[in-house]
Amino acid sequence: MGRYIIKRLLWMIPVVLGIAVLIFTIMYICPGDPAASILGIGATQVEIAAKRSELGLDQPYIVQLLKYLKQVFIDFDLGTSYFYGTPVIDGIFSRMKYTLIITFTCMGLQILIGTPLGIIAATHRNGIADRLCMLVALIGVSVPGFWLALMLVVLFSVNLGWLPAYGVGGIQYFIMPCIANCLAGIATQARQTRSSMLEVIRSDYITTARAKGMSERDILFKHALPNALIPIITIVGNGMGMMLGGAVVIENVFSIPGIGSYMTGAINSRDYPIVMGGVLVLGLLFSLIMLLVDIIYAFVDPRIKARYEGKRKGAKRHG
Amino acid sequence: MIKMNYSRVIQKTMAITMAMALSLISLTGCGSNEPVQSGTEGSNNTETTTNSETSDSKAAESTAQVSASGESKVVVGLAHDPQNIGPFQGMSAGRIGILYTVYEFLVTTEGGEMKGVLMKDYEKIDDLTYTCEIYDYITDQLGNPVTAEDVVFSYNTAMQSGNLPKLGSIDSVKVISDYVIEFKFNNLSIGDLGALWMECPIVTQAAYEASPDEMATDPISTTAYKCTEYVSGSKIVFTNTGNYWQTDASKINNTSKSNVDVIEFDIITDSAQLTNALKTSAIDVTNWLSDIDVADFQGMEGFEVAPIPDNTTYFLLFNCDGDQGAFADNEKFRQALAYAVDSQQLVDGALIGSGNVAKTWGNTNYSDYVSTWNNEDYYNYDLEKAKQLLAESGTAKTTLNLMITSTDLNTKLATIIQAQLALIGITVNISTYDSQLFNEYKYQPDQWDIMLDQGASTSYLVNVWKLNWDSSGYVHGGSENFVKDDKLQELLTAAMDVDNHNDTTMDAFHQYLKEQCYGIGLVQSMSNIAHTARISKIIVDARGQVTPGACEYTF
Amino acid sequence: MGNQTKTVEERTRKESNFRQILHRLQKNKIAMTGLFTIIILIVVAIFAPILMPYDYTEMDMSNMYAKPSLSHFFGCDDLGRDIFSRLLYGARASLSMGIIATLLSTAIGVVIGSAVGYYGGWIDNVVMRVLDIVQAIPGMLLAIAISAALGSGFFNTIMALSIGGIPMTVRLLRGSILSIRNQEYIEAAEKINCSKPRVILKHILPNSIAPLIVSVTMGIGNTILTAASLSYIGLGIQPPMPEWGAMLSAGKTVITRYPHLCVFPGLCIMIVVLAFNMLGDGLRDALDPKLKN
Repeated sequence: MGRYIIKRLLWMIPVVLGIAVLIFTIMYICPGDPAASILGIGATQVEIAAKRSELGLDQPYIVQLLKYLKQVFIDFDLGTSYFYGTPVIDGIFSRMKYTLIITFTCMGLQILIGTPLGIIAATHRNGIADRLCMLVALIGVSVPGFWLALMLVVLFSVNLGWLPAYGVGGIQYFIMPCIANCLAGIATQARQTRSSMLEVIRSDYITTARAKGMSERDILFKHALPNALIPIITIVGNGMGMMLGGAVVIENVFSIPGIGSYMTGAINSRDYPIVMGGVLVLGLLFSLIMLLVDIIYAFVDPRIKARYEGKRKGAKRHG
Repeated sequence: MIKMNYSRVIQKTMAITMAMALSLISLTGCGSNEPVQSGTEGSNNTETTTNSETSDSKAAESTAQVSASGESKVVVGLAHDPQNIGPFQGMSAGRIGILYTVYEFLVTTEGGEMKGVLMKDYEKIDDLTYTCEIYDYITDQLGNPVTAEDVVFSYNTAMQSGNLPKLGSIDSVKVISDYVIEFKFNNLSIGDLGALWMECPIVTQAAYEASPDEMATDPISTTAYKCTEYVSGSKIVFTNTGNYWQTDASKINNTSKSNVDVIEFDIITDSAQLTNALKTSAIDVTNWLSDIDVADFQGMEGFEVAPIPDNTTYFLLFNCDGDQGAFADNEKFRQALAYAVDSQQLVDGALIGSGNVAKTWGNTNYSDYVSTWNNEDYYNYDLEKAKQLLAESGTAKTTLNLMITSTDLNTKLATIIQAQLALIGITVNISTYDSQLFNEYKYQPDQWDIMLDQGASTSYLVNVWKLNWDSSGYVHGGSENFVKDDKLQELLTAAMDVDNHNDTTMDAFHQYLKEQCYGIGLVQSMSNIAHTARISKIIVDARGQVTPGACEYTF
Repeated sequence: MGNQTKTVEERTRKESNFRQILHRLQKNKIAMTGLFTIIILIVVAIFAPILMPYDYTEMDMSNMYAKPSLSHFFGCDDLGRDIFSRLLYGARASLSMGIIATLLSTAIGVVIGSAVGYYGGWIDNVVMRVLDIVQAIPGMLLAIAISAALGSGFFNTIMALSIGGIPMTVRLLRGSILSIRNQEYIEAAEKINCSKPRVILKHILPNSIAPLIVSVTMGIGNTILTAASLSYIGLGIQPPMPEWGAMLSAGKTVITRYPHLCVFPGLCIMIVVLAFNMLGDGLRDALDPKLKN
């Protein structure tokens, strides 16, 4: 297992390199550039062309690519934002804390509420609890995030005045954003858990366990749930990775200066340093999370662990 | 089948997750506390200078009319992030909202007239050389005195940054004496002098060089308001230093006033939320509400709407490129479309009646607008004439590509125009792009047939014309829509000339442009600013932005 | 009992796997409801021009933001156009983009995922790392790149929409496959010289596809919403063509004052998601080999 982890960590180097080259290339072929926006309102084409030249944006692809790769991998400098004038790395870290608050809270809610909901639905299949849970889940995934967010604001801010409509600060600023953001995740979690559990519950070994007289509770936690965990973990890991990119819509609606709005703002204005630096950092984090997910797979399911360790097929058939 | 030690899995997972989380959090330095908005209840004004009643605001979480330390405070909502608030940056939509709170210039514009701010007096040496004298008691917010050296430093640094290309008209800036600076220009059109003296913020060399990030988050200037808090992407707070350098009240213009202790700018990019923020009085005022949202606040207790004339006009441009433009050498085709567009319907449908039909390539709010134009026929809606001209034009191209930027208003305008042109048999396909792509494609003649654009200037109407029709601003040597017409250029240059700028030259250009119909003005919008009743009078600057320091308050 | 009249041959010949699955699906009332709803939606989309009471571009300035009434079932939007007609016509764009893009990303994801999960080893490593790289790029950028490189148009829009879903599909499938890969029955199939694709198709996929079905059916709604944001980069649907996601986004600005602009497109999207989920659940049950007849 240790060897597997080290191998994966080593693989991250080409991955990060690959991300750097890919994101640079994509930004290069994307039409539109920051020169016009940097100069602002009322700049003429001649002036914009001059600015573009000054930024080095009219040099050939290879020259720009090599310059960037050197800057990132040899000087360890992610550059300075064209529009903020502050170093990209500072921007990412200062924004990350808000995104992390929302991400961890929502992930926590997703696991703590979604999983039990799914389990209840699966164990009471076709009963009232099942129907109700699934209805709630369906609504949760069909309701657009911004709609829910705006409805919450209208109710709790404009009409009741209990919570602030936007901004950051104490805990009251994060209540509505987290609720609006986690609903889809809870719904997906519930449905995925239910689906996996249903699969497992109908398995032979569950029937066997019942025949042996195990209590339902034991069956649930010792046999059913562990076997159902794999897809659940995938969802959680993937969701975590995506949330790191920031819940863009929620951040926009609630004016939370997180990573999501930082990145989308940068993409819209073609703030190349932020886009490239941000994608690199987030890509790296995402790879780490995926590694974590793969490691957890191994702990949950020894069969997978065996695969990682490269046991040959049939080796365990001896004897 | 797996039988498992459930708790072991959980332990391991938790451990690894904790480790990751802790390392991430420690990296982000999650230790600083954001100041929470202080929570004094509601608004409770005792006297107002207006007729509307004030009532308790509905929100319990309100921005206090007093901040934590008992000072008076106003909160302004911005729809765009100013981002880098250093002195030598380009003019973005976010920056115009905070400009005069952060920086002062040599002069300002009030009512179309140039007024001195840092500048005490100026003298014309010759057509392209001027000297300017600044007050000898100016200090910045750290107490550094401002001298001619600092003015020269500011201008030179600005010119080197390449972010303020208008300064390219300046040949040199030199120190003459402690408080006198000489400006040599390359060329000067009408309105340029004031514009160039209002283009570059003045900061002291000492403060600028001491700043670790070139004042991107922590500007030091000569205004009464010092930046005391900058939360990237969220808010910027300015506090009155209490020792503004200009002690002679008669010399303080609107853009330099300081009627309130604390100005906070909140960045709220979502338009629905901007409205909610105003409704809960979390902000006091914002420029950026759409007309339909502003209508909500009419007659609402505790709020008022101030109608402010807007300098912006919306235009339609016809692609006249020699090779790829559908409208090159086909005046009748252009005119046919001009007659087919019903500008009044655009005002009613897209601006909800809050605006006017344009009568020229521009807006009535400029001092050099010639009033006789109001009575002229400016391609007034005439469907029959449009059909006739279209037939006469002999064009085979009946499907046109209309390019717009993706704002709500542009989409509405374009959709209405599309329907109007359909009535004369022209099929319009709308291409919506974000501003980056739009700014790239607008210079490419193969990307569009007609284009919706808008324009404004801080000084004169002729400078709006300059932006769209002056070929020296375009790499391809034509106007914005690829027109290469020497006579057009001649008339424009004549109208831009400092000595010749008058009704005659303005009218000459207007008539020619109208005849040729290379493009037409559509509508001019009205900017209605909704605000809480805590503000009794809204003052705006030359760009139509609220100047919080100059507004009058009821507390 | 009733089979006694059949020949021995007929009795012993098993129904083909496919027909078994179909049969099980048919018996599931909820799944059938879902399928039925989808069919109705598709029919409505096809026949929209006939069914619409008004033309979807017809503007009526006096009726801007009109509330639902007998003459305008769902009210009018900001330019006085009938929302009901626009929803009917918009079904074409939204359903086709939503369904085709989702199916495409699922198909590609399944192919890649099964190959990765089955073969493992260096294929697993390389492909997953490539996916890590691709997944690091924000979806909007990929869409812009596609639009820039390939131009606009329906197929390019579908590509831009489907790219985002592929990595997740692959991971889900891979996760499932990893756990059953070395099971006895798989080994047994291989030992008797089942061809590899056959092993994957008949044994591995049915056992691992369940989580995929859930994820895919829930993703359709998201795809429809994402399509709306593509219009800003020249892909997707341009005005005045109606499209549910775009109508929802446009209605956002007046959501508190005129909620009907948002509510009805939102309901339509919800109905599609609901229908697909019901069908998907039934499909999962039908495909589950562990279900006793």
